[in-house]
Amino acid sequence: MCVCVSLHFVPFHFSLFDANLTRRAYFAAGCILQCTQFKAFEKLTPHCDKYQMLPFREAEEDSSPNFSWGVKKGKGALNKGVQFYKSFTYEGVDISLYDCVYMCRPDEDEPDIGKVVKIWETAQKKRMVKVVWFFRPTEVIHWLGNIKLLDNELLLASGEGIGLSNCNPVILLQEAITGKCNVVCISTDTRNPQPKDEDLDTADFVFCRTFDVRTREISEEFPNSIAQIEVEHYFNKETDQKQPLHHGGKGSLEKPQSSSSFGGTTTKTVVKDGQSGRSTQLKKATSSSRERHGNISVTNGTVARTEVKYSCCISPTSLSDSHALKKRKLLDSSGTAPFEQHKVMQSKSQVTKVVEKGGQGNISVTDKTVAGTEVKHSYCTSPTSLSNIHALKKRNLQDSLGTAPFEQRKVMKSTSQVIEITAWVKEGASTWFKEQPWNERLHVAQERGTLVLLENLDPSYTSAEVEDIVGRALEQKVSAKMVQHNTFSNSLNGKAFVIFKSSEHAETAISKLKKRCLMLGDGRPVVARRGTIEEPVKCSGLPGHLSIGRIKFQKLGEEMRKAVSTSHHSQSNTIEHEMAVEWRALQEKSSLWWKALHEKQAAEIELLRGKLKSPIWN
Amino acid sequence: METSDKEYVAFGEKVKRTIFIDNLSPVATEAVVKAALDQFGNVIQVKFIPNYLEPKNIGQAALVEVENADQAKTIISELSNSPFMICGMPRPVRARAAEAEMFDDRPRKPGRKIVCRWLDSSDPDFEVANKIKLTVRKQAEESKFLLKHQLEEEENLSKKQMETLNASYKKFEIIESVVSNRVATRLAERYRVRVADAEH
Repeated sequence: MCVCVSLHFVPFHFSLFDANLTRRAYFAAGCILQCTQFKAFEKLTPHCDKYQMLPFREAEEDSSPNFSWGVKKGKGALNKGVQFYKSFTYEGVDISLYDCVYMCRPDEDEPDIGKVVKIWETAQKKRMVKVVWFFRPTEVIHWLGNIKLLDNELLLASGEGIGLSNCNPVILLQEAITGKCNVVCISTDTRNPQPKDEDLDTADFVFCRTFDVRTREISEEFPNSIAQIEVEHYFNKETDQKQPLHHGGKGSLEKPQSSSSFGGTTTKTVVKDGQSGRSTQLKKATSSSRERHGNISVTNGTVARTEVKYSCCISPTSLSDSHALKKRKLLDSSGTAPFEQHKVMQSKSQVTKVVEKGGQGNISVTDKTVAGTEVKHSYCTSPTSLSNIHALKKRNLQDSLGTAPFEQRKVMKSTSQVIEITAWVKEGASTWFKEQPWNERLHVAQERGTLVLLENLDPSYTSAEVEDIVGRALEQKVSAKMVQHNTFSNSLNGKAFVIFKSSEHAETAISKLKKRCLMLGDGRPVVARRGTIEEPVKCSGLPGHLSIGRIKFQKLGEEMRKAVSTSHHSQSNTIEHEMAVEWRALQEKSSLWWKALHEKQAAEIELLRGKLKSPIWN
Repeated sequence: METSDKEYVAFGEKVKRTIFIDNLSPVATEAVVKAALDQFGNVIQVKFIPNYLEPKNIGQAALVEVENADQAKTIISELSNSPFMICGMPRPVRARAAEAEMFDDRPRKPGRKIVCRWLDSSDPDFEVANKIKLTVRKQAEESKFLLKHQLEEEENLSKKQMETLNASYKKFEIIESVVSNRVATRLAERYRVRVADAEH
């Protein structure tokens, strides 16, 4: 053991990935510091049967009136005292062989899901079940690679080794079966009866892949047997399932210390929208007021400001769920709130003012109601909730814009001609400009006042095409450059810098474009304004690049040598890593903001474009 | 200026094997980025995207062309799975597949026709067109605002982390000094508590 304090004293369970798998060993691990020696990414730390480590506190066998055995299956071959069963009833729930159940641990938010493959009673009258686990996507995210899983997709464990299955007593106060769940196999394996559509709708989860716990491979092939049970039992049953399907997610077993109850009944119908079964097994501390989809409230924005006040709905956990732990911290740090209160987690209302409408079309969306302490995570705010918001936004927008004065639809042939842009060279034009690098040209042009910024172009134009357009339409020879897209560019909106011959030319062009309307094909009026480029401030660092004051890194100079050493992956048990993950979360959040913004803007434009009576086509 | 189909297709290939990286520190140069990514694959070229319209402290962006599309995909997934830092920590860089519009020297799409026309105020579409123009302007403002907000968020996070880092460093220094001047060992002997002797 060492004094591993330095920068590594971050407690182990904050380390990113393996937390999910290793939390099963958390109790067994004991001293936290010991764990920091594990290199988290590589090892599946022993999935100790922690159930065997903890002293069992079982309810007394006889005094549990809620339990009764079902159909017997047969006696054990080796040990005649063992009696196998096909089903049992506990707390009113019928659990049969090959059913899928929720197994919950007291400290965990999400229950595990497993398939019961063996039910028996030992000679000592202990009731046991053997459960083969399903993996959630978050638990295997490291090995997923590029595979995209559905929201409610699981992976069946296969292969040999730890993590495949567990044998538990049925009644265990710390962790036990808490409910049945409906898992449908959608694999196209010939041995699998294909599920019907209604089955899919009511399914809590689906699976079509296996995760081999030893080789850590994900495959769509099913081996012939898993945990010595024929694979056919893992597939869908042939006959219709008689079990009442409303069990999905409903914990009908009450645990005395249960900190959660499985709500999620109401969201069954939503499965269709792609808001998947995840919603059904989401824990809701207060099932009452927490509508996952966010509350949409329409408020009237402040009229006075011409500049639009902005904010977006953010769903930070629509990122890969490996950030769930980060989210936990974020939640905690942003303060605890009483359960009943809807906590608006880093979301702000979105107020847009549609200029021409005189203040009526104000939309604000608040999202992300997250309760305070106990429910620590929200796998819930999946992207689907965001898209839901979009749908609502769009609808609201449409409603508000729909009240705009209705233009008369006169079929009138427009008098202006359609100009076709072909390569255009003005006679006698020589190269006006020395071919300076664009950087300088832009600056020079800005000083001289000849720089114009054109917006709302088709982003797939090239610089030369822009030159031609301006040439033909405005009959001036110019030099143009399309602005390259970067992180923040709206992919519908192409921009170009255009340098005119003189500032008067630029002025006339701008005024011309303002007064009349240069309409490009497929309905894009060109917007022109004075071009300004940002001053090239050379800043020495990026926010987020931290250094300890007393230790000076030599960033400049020696760059080549330092390049490899300063560029690295972060190790997972360091503060650096934790911070990096926070940045990651912020990056993902911001890309979501932008996406939301762009989508909304696209919708607005589309709407308006749809009103064009005689659009030109390309 | 017509370009041939072949050129256009070749450009498409190039796009596929180029990675777009942002959140780069302004002090990173092309050589740095190249060296950093050479660990993953064969980097042919690194070009920075000049930033004309946005404020300067959002970090640089670069287009990195690698040998083939598979390498590009691997790099992108590597960088997405585990945070990778270039030239400063802990803010990781972000990698995406490049898009054609990010490139500077795009060839024209062969066979493409562009048409346009002028609209006067008498034209029925004029009003709508004006509305579109206004909307575009408004959206530009919105984008600017969002960008500002994002920068603020980044600043905040950075400050917060800086505090955490400083606090941790202080703790570290304390412990280190205690260990190094053997106070810890003596105390341990006194209280009969085990402690490690050497640092790991």
